[in-house]
Amino acid sequence: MVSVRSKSTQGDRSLPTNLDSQQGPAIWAVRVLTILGLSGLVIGLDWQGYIPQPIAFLGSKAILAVQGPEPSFVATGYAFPPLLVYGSALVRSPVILQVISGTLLVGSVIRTMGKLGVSRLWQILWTMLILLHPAFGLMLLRDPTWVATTLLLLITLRLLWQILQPQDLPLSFLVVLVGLTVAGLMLLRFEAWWGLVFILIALWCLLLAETWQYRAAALFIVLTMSLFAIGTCVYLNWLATDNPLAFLSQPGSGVRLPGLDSFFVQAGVGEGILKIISWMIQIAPIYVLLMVWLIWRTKFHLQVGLILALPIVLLLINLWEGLYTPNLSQFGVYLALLPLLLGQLPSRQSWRKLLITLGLAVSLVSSGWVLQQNQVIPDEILLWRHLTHQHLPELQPAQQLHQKTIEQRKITAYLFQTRQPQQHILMDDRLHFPILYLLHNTEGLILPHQYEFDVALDYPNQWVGWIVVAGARSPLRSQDAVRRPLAQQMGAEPDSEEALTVPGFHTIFDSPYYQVLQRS
Amino acid sequence: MSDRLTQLGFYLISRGYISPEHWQLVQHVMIQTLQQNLDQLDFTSQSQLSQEISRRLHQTFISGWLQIPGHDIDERLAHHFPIQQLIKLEFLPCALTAENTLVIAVVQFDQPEIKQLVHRVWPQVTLEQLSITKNQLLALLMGQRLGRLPQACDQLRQALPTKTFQSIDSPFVKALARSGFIANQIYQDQVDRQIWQQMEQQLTPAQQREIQLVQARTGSPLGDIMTRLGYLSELSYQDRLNQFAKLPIISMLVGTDFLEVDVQLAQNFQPRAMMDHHFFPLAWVGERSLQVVIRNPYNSEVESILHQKFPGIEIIKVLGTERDITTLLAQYFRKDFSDRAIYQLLKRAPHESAARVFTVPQLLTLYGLSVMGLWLLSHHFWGALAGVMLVLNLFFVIAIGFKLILSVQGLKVRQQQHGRWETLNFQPQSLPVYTVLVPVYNEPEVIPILIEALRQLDYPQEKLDVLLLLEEKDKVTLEASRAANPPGFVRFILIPDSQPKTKPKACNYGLAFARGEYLTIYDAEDIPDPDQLLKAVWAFKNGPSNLACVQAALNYFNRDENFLTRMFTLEYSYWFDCLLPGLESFQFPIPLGGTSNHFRTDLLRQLGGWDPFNVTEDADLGIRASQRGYVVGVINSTTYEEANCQTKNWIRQRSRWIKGYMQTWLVHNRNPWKSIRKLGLKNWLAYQFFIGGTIVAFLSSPFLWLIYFYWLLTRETWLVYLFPSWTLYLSLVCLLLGNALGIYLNMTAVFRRRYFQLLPYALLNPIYWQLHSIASYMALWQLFTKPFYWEKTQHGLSKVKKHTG
Repeated sequence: MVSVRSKSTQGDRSLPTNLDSQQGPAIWAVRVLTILGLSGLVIGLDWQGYIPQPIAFLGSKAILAVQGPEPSFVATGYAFPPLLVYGSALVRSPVILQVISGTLLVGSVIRTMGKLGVSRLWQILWTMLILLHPAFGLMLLRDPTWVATTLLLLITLRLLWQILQPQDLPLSFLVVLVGLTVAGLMLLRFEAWWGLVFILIALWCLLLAETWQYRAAALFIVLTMSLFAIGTCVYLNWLATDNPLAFLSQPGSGVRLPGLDSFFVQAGVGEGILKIISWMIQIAPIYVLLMVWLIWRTKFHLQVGLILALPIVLLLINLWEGLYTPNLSQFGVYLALLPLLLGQLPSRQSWRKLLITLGLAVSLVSSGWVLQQNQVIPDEILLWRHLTHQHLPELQPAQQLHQKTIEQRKITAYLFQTRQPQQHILMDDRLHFPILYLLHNTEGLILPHQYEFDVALDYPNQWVGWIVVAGARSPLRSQDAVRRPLAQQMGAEPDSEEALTVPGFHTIFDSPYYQVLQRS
Repeated sequence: MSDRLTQLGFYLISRGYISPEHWQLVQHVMIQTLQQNLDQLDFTSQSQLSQEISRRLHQTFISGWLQIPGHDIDERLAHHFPIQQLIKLEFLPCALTAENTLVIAVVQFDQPEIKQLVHRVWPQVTLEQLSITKNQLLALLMGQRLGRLPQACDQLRQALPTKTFQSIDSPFVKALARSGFIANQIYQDQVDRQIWQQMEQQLTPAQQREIQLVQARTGSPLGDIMTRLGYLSELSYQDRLNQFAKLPIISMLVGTDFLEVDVQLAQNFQPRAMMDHHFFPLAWVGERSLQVVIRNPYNSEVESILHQKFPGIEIIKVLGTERDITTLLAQYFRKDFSDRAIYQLLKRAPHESAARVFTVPQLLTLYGLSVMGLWLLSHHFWGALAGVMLVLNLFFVIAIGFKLILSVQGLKVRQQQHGRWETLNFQPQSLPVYTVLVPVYNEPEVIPILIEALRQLDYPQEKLDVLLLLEEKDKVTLEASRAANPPGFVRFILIPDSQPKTKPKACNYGLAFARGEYLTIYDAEDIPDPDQLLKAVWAFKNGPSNLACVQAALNYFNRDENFLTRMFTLEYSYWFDCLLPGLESFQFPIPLGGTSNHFRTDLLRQLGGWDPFNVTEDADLGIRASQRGYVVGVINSTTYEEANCQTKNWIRQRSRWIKGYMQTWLVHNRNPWKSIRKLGLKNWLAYQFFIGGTIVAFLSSPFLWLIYFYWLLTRETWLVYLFPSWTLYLSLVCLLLGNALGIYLNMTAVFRRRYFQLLPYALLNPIYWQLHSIASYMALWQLFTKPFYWEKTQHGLSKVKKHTG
């Protein structure tokens, strides 16, 4: 049997120099500045009214969990990812959660880069190229799910690397930690459920030096905690909806955010690989470069290949599941993993440093080009243009989203100003979660999960003061749990492109995307 | 001149006129003008000295007289005198010759009282005086009383092999050794050589190699090694020592009426000192002579102790084994030790004793809470119940987080510790005496196994001090212990029959006899890792000065026997391999486990020993140590025990543990503010979660499960009142994350130990936890009805042969 771990040599890794201890204050200053900068950016964007879709979704679920109306669990129990929904509820805001997890991630990147065996100049240059990379930036600013996923993936990959080349920490301890981090991934990304098989295979290959009993036990350990996590998710879904896999199909679960239907891409394995290679070369060619480089120069080609392929495999599964959308944020994970890869490569020779720098620069420029070409989801186009002070492109989806966000803010402001405390609002929060998030208050709302929702639909005159529904030309109109039955009651087609009329109510706001009715 | 000087030195020292240190000083500085200088120093007059020296150097010794063929002691002659007079005047009539000469052995020549007394019986006889030491006289008198006078004479008569042992046969060398003036080692080497010659034929080559190996390693006397290894009985060893020292052996008299002991006299010395130096003062013989039982006649420290108390006295030594001295101490300090074992802590620190279950403020608090609870239930029924649910679930969530952090940290540090102890500078000579307390009760069947396990300990056996703590009424175990013929390092301590009849009381009683610098406790069925004591010594030597105790891990040798033993192993592995190292790492208070806790004996005594009224005295002691500013650590070593394999027995054992936790929690919460000040808020909170949390978790868990299953079956909507808003989320976290983590962390510990076959059983933990709840309700009931009742765990039920795997 090949002793995998015993074969590891010091030569495989660059010699880390602990620069922390040499220039501690400087490192700390950089960290603090970065953290403050990130916090300022995320919170500043929120204040300016730019609210990314994932944050609005998590925020609305967190508000429901914290404030109700009861039974709030029915509305949140099937939401995915549960870890972030309840995490946001715990810290009261997804923005705070985003700042916390983003700070940890950036801190980790800076810390690892500070330990690279190259001069401080190179460290700073490379760190800047990573942090300024649009994919990394967009991930930090708009997608808490990917930030959390990246954090856990980073830890998992580090642990797997240590299992391959153990240093201070004992093997069983590392396996136990892998079990915990992988379980966390199960509560963040649905594709990780399938990816679990790949992780177990990788773990088996990493432990070739151990007995088969040990390997089997290690797999059992990791599998158990992950199955608990999956079981938790399934159980919550069952409790909330009687359907253990409700999050896959029900609107408002978060797996498929409303309005993005046309952007979802599905592909088989072969096609998926091609697509991913194409994306990777456009957005993060540096990861591909370093990955190939590492696999080529290590003795453990298989093991290193498996470790580094894990994030790519997750992406592939995502495509295969049909849950992939073209967004740059998800590629932030590769940028966050770069310090780990750079740490494994000796980069003392100038040409290597130049090559890495070139790779990072190309990644940055090419991903900027992708963004500039509007090849991503509208949410990212909006954020990119907003950050770079550019005009919005004439692209329909981006314009629509922009228009929608303006209308959402208008409706919210109007409701704030005119609604009396005792007046109820009938609304489908599963589709109109940005309005709920902007309202930041669930008092007086009548939502589909409530017992009184059906009664309110039958007798809106007696129960509600306001009705908020999808606009007549909104693609979501047929899914709206308020508009659809009310239209049927009025004898209209649910898909009709005519404005909704409800006896006793008059329309006070009408647009292609939203219609607001007030009791006369 | 040097011989005379030596003799003089011996005399002066043995009479307590001068200490060995003084003598060294005198000899070194003023050797040329010794007599003048002694005179100047006012130790004694010059003429007295000259007289005494010349007399001692020209007298005939009884041993020499007895070696002449035809010379024997006529035991009928002594019957003419009361024995008290013989002892008082220090003489023995030996023989009446045809020439009407009475040969008498005297300690001091030319005593007119002796002459008068003899002449009253035989008016015309001429006296021929032989020199006899007090010890020799005593030996002969005892021999006469026991009808063993010929044997006593033979001992005196026995000639030493002149060739090999010329040097030790010399009175000067003996004198030097006795006085402690030269290193006992020199004399001991000679004794060793003779013992080796005598024993060599009786030992197998393997045994010889073992002994030589141990001696090369430790440098301990051969006699000690052989007795510790069980190749030579203590009594035989004493017999052989007697050949050199010519001192009577007392062993046969110990425990009989023949031995007259001055009880008041023994009170002048600390039992601890007597135990440590192996002596026991018997009685005054005359005005200035003290008869003392001593194990090693060449131990000058004993003489120093005695002379410190009674300067100028003559010490008459009789030989006794370590067990003889233990028996004497137990016999004459029994009540004192027993009282201390029970009441010491209660007297010294009543607020730290569990003798009182509830204090008045605690009862008032309990009453207040009950009244408030009833009021809330009557006025806000659902609100009150929802509040209880919220508090319970909040507590569970914090406890889960706390245990997760502890476990991960524990798992990390536990493994990093591995191997560090090997840096111990292993010099057996420098290793301290280690006391091992083994309380046994009604367990005759485990005694041979226990003794075998103790033999396996990788620790110099002459540095081992094993005390088998036996209840005096437990004759069965006592007989089994005697029959097992334990090696010399094992002593039997009989615990007086009194209430409370608990293990801590027995341990406290045993503590009085402990000689070790360090001390540990093992249960009778324990199999400790052989190097555990060495690891503990390493931990103490490398730990902080306030490190009072280190706890070794406990695990089970019969782990695969049935469901219960598997679950018990999972639980213990988690507790000792994850949680306790985690607690240690964060420097939180550590509740000690039942056995294998190693103490610094002096600190243990300072702490007041164990609380005999607390049924988990070990957990209580750990917390008490932390409260007093001491540190409790853990060591990476395991003791294998027998896991309880019967449900009923398991529940009884567990109910005692939980009751003990309840007692401990109550004791250390009598004054919470004081506890916070002493422990610090962080440690206090950790203690509340660890001790208090365990109780709350076990008591509340069945209710929560019942509610859950009731809902699962009926889907009753009224339950929503119990779990409003956040409470529901907290409950879900407890139900899903709590149980998952509980199971997972349980797995990690057995994974580390490579007990892979137990991994799937961790999934059954929720069932196992219900057994805890049953036991906890039993414990709660007993806390009010029988707070000090010790639910004895029945051992020896396992059908699995002992192995540590």
